[in-house]
Amino acid sequence: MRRQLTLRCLKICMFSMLSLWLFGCTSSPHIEENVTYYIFDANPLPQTTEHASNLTPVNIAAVKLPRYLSGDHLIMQSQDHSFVRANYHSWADNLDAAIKRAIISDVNQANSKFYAVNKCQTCTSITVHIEHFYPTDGGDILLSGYTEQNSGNSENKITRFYYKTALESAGYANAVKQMRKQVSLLTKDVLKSLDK
Amino acid sequence: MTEPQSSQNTTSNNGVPPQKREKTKISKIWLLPMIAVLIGIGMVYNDWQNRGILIQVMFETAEGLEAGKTVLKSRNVDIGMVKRVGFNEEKTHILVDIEVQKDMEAFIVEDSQFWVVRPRIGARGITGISTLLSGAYIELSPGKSFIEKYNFVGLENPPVTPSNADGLHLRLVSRGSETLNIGNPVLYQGFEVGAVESKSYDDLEEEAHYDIFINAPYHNLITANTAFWNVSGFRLSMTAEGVSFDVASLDALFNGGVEFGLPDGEVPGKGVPQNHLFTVYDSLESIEEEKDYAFIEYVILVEDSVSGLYKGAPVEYRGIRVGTVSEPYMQFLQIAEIAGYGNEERIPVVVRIEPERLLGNQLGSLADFKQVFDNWIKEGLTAFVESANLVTGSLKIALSPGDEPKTDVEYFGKFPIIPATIGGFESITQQLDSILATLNTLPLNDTVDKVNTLIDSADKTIQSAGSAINTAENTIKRADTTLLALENTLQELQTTLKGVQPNSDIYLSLQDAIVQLEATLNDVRPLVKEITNKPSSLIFGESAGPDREPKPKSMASQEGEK
Repeated sequence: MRRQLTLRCLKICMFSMLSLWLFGCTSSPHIEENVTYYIFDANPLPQTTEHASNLTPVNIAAVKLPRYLSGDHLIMQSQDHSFVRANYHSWADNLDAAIKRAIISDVNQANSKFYAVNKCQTCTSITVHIEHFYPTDGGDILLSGYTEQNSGNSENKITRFYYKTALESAGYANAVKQMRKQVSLLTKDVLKSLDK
Repeated sequence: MTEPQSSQNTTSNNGVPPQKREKTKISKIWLLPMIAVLIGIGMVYNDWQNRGILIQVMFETAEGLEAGKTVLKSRNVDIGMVKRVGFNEEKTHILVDIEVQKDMEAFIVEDSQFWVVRPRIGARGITGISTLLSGAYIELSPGKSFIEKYNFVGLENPPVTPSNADGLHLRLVSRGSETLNIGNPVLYQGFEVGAVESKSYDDLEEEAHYDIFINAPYHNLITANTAFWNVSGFRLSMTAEGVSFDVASLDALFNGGVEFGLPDGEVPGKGVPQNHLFTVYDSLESIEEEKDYAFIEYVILVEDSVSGLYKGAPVEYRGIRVGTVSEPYMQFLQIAEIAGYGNEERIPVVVRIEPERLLGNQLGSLADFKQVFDNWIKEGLTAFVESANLVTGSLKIALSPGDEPKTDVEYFGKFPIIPATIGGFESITQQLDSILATLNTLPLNDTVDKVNTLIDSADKTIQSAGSAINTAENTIKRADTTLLALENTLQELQTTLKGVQPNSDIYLSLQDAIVQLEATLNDVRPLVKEITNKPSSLIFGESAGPDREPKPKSMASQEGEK
């Protein structure tokens, strides 16, 4: 009688463990998260191909990025020397090409003596070398690097830039907006240096 | 009341005749059927009040449709029921009567769309699997119109985009060999922003026509300067510019697709209206090649072989593309018509000079440019056939300034003539032939014999010795000329070999392709690492969890304090 009771208890225990194990498999937590794509130069303004004869063309030759910024995923500086790569926030376009388009658009929209072209053999050429461009865990947006100006007949002129602004709202979407604003600041400083 | 009754009874009892009470004509029993009739009328009214709207939809086939069972749904909500399935008068189509719920009246408007949802296999994969068990149903996509309609023509396939979707409808025309299918994606920088809705082929114009839809807000990317190109499968091309390897998205790799963007050097133009027409090019690289340029036709009378010269081959001026070969060889009858039978042994190659390739939008008029080009011919411009690709053996036409000015431009029929010279490989071949011929014809044995004879007879006649010396001098001069030709040939061979050195286009293109491959592998590496560390994640699909996102300083400091 006692033996039958023990066997029954064992059967109940085994059945319960098997049920728990099966329920554990089927009810594993699953977080639904969609990938968000960002276009750096969103909301473009119309540009014209005809420019006044008193304006000077300037060639935005290239925007060069370090290897860690060349990927599709957005990144954030988490500590002094470490970065976090986002899994669900991604660039819709190559970042270097998008920054170049943004600079060309900013130059053409700015009320200055210059207009931007993609290719030009004789005019002043600007190459932008970006070294740091990301939001930080501390609530800042950082953009730094240098521009290389080549006027054809003289030595290349190197100008360093450094912009650090406080992040206004949380999230990558707001960070991308402020990163775009920093590129506009950079374009203004490039135009100032061309004026000199 | 009781008192009069008692007095009446009293009166009656007292011999007063009883008053006559009139009996009601209708029996109370009739109340029952009247109540039943009223209830029946109420039921009929209630049924009439709740009856839905009857509409009729025409389909090609009634596969999966059953009266009283098949339901009408919109976004998976039942809004009606099939009441009858029958034929039209011509017996060519199926007419389906559907009763739509009365409160769904707003869905029945003239631009609403109907189609049968059943299991299908198409460009978008397998759809309608759920109907294997539940049975087919009719889906309704409500339109935007306010005009009611009760007879519709159903779609045989589900629409690629809903009728009320926001975005831009465009029309594409393709003259290339690559084809698109309904449902193929429309990509922007590899990101899917729309789809191909319909396709047709114009057999008169020999063009394929496609209707595509760009979803909002990406329709803002379409401007008048936008170009569309095909991205079906992968493309490995070896051209005169080098090797290129292009791969589109995984979906487009297997199913095909079309991508759009701005060609190099273009800026966004003005916006385009609905159903604007664009051309689809075979590839991004072929946009410049296939674009319709304004042109002037010239003819080159080639003495060499034109094997390897094809229609569409480039015409270059010292390496700069200025035109296209229109006819690699003129038809025999056309030559005979112009020059007479057997009077012209050279091969007339018709070329198109396309000034826009040089001047872009700055081109004034074709007549002005023709005058300039004719002046170049008068100053000595010449053309020759040259190798375009060493691997495929294709040829191109090269133009170069010459040193033989002409008084006027000659004509072959209606075509002005660009004078032809021998150049490139043909010149190397000819030079090698001439070297070999010269070496063969060198009278070395005769010369030695003559020298021996002269030495023998030197003592005999001084005059004959003098002539022998002259003969020897001539031979040395010819040997000098031969060596000079050999030296030139070697120099040209050296120039040819430079094309495959580390700085060459082929080498740089291969390097670019390797860098792109490396970037793709970097993106795949985390996935491989995840599967290596936790193979079960491949089956159970465990998510990486939400991303940490940047926060402003105030929020970051609060979290730090916590």
